Amino acid sequence: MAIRGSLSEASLPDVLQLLAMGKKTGCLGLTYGNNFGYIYFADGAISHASIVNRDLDTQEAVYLLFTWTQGVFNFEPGVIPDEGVALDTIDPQSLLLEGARRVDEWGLIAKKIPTFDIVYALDRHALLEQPRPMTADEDRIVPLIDGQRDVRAIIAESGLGEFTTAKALYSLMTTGHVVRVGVSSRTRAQQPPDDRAVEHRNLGAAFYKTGMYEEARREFRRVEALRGGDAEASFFLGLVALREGDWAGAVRAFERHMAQQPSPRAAAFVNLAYAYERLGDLTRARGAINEALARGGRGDPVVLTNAAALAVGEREYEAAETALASARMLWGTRRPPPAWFHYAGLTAAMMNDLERAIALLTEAVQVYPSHAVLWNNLAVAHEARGDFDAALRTVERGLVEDPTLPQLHRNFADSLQRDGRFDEAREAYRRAHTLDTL
Amino acid sequence: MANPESADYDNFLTDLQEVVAQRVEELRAHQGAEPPPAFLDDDKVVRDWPELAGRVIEELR
Repeated sequence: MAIRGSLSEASLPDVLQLLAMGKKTGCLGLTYGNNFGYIYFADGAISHASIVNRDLDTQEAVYLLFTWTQGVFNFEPGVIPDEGVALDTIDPQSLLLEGARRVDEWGLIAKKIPTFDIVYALDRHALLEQPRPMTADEDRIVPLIDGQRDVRAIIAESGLGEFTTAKALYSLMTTGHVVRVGVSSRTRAQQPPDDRAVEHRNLGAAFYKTGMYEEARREFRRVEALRGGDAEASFFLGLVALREGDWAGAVRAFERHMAQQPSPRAAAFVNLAYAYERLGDLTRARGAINEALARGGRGDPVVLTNAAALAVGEREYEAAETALASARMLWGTRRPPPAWFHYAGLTAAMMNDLERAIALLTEAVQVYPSHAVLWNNLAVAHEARGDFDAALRTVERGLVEDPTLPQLHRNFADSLQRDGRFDEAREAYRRAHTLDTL
Repeated sequence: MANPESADYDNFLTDLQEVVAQRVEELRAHQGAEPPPAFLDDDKVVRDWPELAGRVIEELR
């Protein structure tokens, strides 16, 4: 379950300690004004951190995030960094002390350098009149302080990172060797609309990945507004609508995406099919999934699994089986995802091949034990085969994973009833009914 | 001249068709078979995969 809160009520160090103690894996997203940062956790350790549209390594990013004392955070469990991202293993505790020190120093620095758009110049008179030894960091930035470059450019060209550069600049200002001469001409409002659209797109994608859908929608709408329509933004707006259960809104967004795309890809049709399926329009869902299959989907196991899911909804089990067999072949030695096992097990059971259903679902729960739905349907398959002991054991195991799934309580009740434990069965039936009506 | 990569892919698709055809043949034994009554009861069976991530594609591909 996602954890969301306000940084003014729970500080970032508090949240980090909580996630470290709980040995959590997932992504903590943070917003501060128009800025967005994220910290990935793997078993309680920081594996990667970044701030959107800023070039910072993990440690620098976390230190900067410590200075965000307002805004919101959102922890999305299970989310892992994109492939190819540099991974670390950092104990959050080890960053707290240095982070606190930097927060204090940032407070002072920010009074003299309130934005990175400011342009500074060397006071050559002061340098000659009052020479002083320079630190290595100051030596590095002095040639860049030329009355032309703004702070952002000095940070980028020095390679020292935001904090070290700003601290060296602050020190030079404090001793009177550097003076402010203006602000850079290319401030945010003057940025070309396309640059701003890219920034909003990056923010939107980061918000989406970390489960902050309202914020993601806001950013992708800005992209659409800046570009007068944008196929990628419409695609993500469709995904946001799906995440929020707004099926009609998802249909509109994916259709808008397709109208803007000369040759829409299979993914958009798969998602459109799902939205139609949820609206109960299986005819249009079938049309969309057929388009997905025609656009390269026959070579994509995820598209084939979705085609199978729709076929199960249409009670076309042979078609479902064919698509699932093709998908498994395409995965090769890679393990199919839990949804594939779910539909494969269900299809086999609906074709009265209980032996195969049990084999598939047994494999599924060994690999994906946290998915209660797989335990539930396996229990029903055992029951249908007359193996009531296995059915009871399986249903009890499923309840450990998810005690809120009504079907598990119903199957538990049936097992108790068979055992003559009528009072307990009555109670389990009542729980199943209550959960089903929630 | 034939592209060797394209030939490999064609062979792969041929293999795939054979495996699928074999599996469908196996299924003929179960064709027309009625599902077990327990699997017809929506209060007992979960039909739709409940997690959105398993049903949609979250990247443009």
